[in-house]
Amino acid sequence: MSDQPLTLPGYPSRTGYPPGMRAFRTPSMVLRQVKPASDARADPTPMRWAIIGITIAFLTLFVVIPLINVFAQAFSKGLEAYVAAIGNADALAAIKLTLIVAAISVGLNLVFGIVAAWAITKYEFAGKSLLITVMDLPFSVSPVIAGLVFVLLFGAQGYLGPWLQAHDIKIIFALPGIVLATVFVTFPFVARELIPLSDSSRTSHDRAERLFRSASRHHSSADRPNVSK
Amino acid sequence: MTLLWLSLIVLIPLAALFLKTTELSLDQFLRIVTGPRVAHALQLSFGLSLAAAAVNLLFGSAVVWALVRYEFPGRRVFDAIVDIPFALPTAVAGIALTNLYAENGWLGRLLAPLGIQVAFTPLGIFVALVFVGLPFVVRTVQPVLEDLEAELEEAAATLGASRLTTIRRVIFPAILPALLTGFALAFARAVGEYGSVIFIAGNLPNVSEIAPLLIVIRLEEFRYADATAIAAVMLVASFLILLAINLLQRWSERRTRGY
Repeated sequence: MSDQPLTLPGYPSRTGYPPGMRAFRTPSMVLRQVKPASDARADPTPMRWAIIGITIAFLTLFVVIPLINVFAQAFSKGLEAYVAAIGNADALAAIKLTLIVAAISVGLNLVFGIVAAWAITKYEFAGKSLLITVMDLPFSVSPVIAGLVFVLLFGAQGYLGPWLQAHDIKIIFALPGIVLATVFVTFPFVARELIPLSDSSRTSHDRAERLFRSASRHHSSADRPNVSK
Repeated sequence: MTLLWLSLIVLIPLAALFLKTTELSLDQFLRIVTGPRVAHALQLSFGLSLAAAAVNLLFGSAVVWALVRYEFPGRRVFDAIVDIPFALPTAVAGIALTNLYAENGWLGRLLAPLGIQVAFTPLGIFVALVFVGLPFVVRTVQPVLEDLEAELEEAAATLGASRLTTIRRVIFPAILPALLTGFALAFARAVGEYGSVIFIAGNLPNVSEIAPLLIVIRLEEFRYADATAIAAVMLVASFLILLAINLLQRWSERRTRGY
């Protein structure tokens, strides 16, 4: 299309120019002629279609169909049955408890996750990589083991059980126990998400710090925008 | 403060587990762990997790490649739903999968005439483990593949490398650490998975009983020593997996710094 004479309303026709004189072109006409920067990343078409096909088939089989099934099951007896089941006192209490536990443990993990990520990325200290490994442990430890561990600690036959009973403090089979287990299981997430972020912003942060040092306000202003995302 | 919190939530509880294990003599410990039922459960857990992680590695790579490199209808939707196995409560996932693969379920109905039974067999556990491990390979490799500079591939192409050679010799080495990390994460998650598996497994002793379930059973029988011994084995395994992941990450950091 680029070499065809173009006539645009309002613009002089390209053929009307004497030889050697460049035609008038609008920016959009120029832009349209730019070739893609490279096709080095283009894959052969069969490979392309095979991979897209595998992706769609795999995700459909393992995610889409189960997800649709969840909703189909939930509404299989009609909307009324669904609302009735949700409105049931037990269900409401369970939902309320879940939300309370989630709010408390996410709050706790947020605070300590930020502190931990800060400590790990800003300071050098002995045993840092060990600390990171331990922080990741709850992620790879089975939730069952986490539960078992808390029973061992706070249960009636546990290490702290008798003392807790003597002081009439209930942890296990009560809200603190649930919160504790939830905090354990979700422990690594906040810090794990923040560490790469602070790592990559470290160089630019250092530069900012040098700039701000004379004004002695380098901590607060240079970091916050990045974290709050 | 970090250390204090960490020890309160993670270290002390796990130390308690080991302390409890030391109450057993080595002989007792070995007898529990090598007992037929426990040994079978551990074998099943680790074997199926390995298989599920391998499947996730293979298909996850295809998914990542399609999501990062290609444009196709629904790409954004598929990109978003990759996280669903992670966000969905595992019990919900387990019930949904059981529903699907039960003999009268949507998929079980299609498989039954072929003589394939998925629900309430080890195959069902495998399906559930693939489900829960699915996001890990994709989400670990995705950022690395996105950040891979086009110049590398262009340079390879100008030097006369075929597309296949470029993928094999340029792209694959660059994303290998991420692939292995994703594999290890999926494996770790699968080994510890409980919620989704118990629904689909059928939980027959010596057939489809996984190690975490056996811990719960022993706990309910108040056989704390047995539960702790199994847990200790699994905990050591998780430790080793994590250690491998961190070593991998360090290795890849060293390599990328060399570029």
